[in-house]
Amino acid sequence: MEIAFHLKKFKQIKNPKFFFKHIKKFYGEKIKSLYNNYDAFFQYEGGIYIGNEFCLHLLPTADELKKIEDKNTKITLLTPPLTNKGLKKCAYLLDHLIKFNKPQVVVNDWGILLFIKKNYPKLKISAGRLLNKAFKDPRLSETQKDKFFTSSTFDNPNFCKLIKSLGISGLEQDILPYQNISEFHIKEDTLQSFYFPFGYITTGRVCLTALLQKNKANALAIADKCAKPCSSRLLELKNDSFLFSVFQKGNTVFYLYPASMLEAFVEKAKNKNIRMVYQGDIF
Amino acid sequence: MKVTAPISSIKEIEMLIELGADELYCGFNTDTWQKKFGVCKINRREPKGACINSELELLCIVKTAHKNNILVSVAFNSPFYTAEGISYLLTLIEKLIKEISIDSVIISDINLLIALFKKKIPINIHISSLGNCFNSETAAFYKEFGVKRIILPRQLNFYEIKEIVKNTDKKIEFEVFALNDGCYYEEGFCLTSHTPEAFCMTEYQLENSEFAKKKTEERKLKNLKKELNSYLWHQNNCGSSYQKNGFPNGPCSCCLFGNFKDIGISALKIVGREASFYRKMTSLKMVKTVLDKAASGAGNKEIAEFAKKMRNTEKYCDTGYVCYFGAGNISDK
Repeated sequence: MEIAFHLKKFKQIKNPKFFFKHIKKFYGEKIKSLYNNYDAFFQYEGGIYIGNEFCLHLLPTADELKKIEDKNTKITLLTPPLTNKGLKKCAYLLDHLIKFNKPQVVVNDWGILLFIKKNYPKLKISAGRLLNKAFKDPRLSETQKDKFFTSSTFDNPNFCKLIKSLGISGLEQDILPYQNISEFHIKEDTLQSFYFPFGYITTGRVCLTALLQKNKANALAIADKCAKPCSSRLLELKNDSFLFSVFQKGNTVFYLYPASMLEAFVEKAKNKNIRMVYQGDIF
Repeated sequence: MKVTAPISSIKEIEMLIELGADELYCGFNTDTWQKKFGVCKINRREPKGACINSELELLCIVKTAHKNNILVSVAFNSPFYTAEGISYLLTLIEKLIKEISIDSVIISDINLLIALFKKKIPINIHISSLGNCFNSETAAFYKEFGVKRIILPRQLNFYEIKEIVKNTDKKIEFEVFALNDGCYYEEGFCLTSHTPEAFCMTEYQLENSEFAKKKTEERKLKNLKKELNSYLWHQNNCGSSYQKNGFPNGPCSCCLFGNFKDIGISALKIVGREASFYRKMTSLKMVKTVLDKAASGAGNKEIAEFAKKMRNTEKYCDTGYVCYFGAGNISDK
């Protein structure tokens, strides 16, 4: 198992254990086994993730990419679903990304996949979380047990054949909120990347947090530009029917994995062909 | 442009034909599905009220529709089915083609699409708005699987739609939302359920997270929630209300019908399989009235003004919260 870090702004990770201090923000001392067994769990470095899967405004600029001097940095660019205009913006970034050694792009719509295959055939491609549909409603009654709640698009054998035919080499996903970790099957033939400590529930182009930058009423709309008030803000959605903690970050709603779930997952996944992507830095 | 209207009961067909629906779409549910896979809604809506629940009723609808040259699509547009669920759906779809002669299926699950394609099932495939076609490359991707029509997602603006249509093979048809039922999140990315109510309509408290780097002032938080509630109310058909003239309130793209015609949109969708007979009737009347204006040779600006006047809900239109595709902000109407 390897570990990668999704960073808000690029910086070299000199000591990967930096995240110990960071993740304590979310769990305190509850996941001690993760701290204590870091070297046993994470044998390899999965590199740096930049960009964003949910919002075009959170993509890095080409200048930010240019500033990364070490072109051997193992780098993954997360891309959101894109309009035709967004594809053009992203192409400018991809022109710089290909200068790195074996860069990877995470795609979250089928169009950008085709676009990359046509125009940047050497880029490694991974299928993003937004392509992986599953049930994540936080209001489910705990008594309901069904395969529907513990499987997803990526589990279907037809999908696995499709991604091979399309040259997709990785699958990005969340630990599903109703997943029974002991029954969870880890695929060995494709690199699977699991994000932590948050999984996503829902998203859209209309951003509640962006409203903070606007003074006028009636301002909930798809924005052409954004001052990114989400960079420092995190809101919690509270309702008695929610079975786990639910948060709004920018335009997206997330759930925080319970400590026991994360610990059990990491224990099960150690020594497997798995990447854990730490995303706490962007929250 | 054709008008695609929802139907959930044989009782509605005469009215829909009489008022000029060009195409119909419906949900279909079976007892077997309910027993075996019921936790996953067969088409994202409740079986009761939003679906046809008997083969005989569906057969009657399709026969009557065909006699009137109207095509019928059946939605199996849950974003995700298990492999067993897909296997069941393939058999069901084949049966509906053979015994009932349905014309097309509306789907969004990529694995169901692959399965239909691989099995070469002879049916027109429409990609649901939940298939998230945000660009012309995605349209090209779907074309490879033999897709005939793509229903574009709600959260595009008119110019983005124009770019998609312009850059896509003309063999692909595009359908857009004309009226009713907005969505705060993009439905194709929303992994929640509409049962017991839509997740976005669940009343929750909005608070600063203890993990936030920067706290938002309480006053601003209250304003956010207030604005969100206003947005949701408008998107939810203005509290499912109606005008004095009987026309329904809620999101629409009526003032863009002229522009849609210009760029080659094939069909306009009226949302609301679960809507009442009355709402379906008044929705269709309204859409047809604006479309007739567009067909009469009126200019786009004239169509837009006509639509806005007919809706007679200036205060709602002015919020922008009842506009599909940024309709209120399109300058070249």
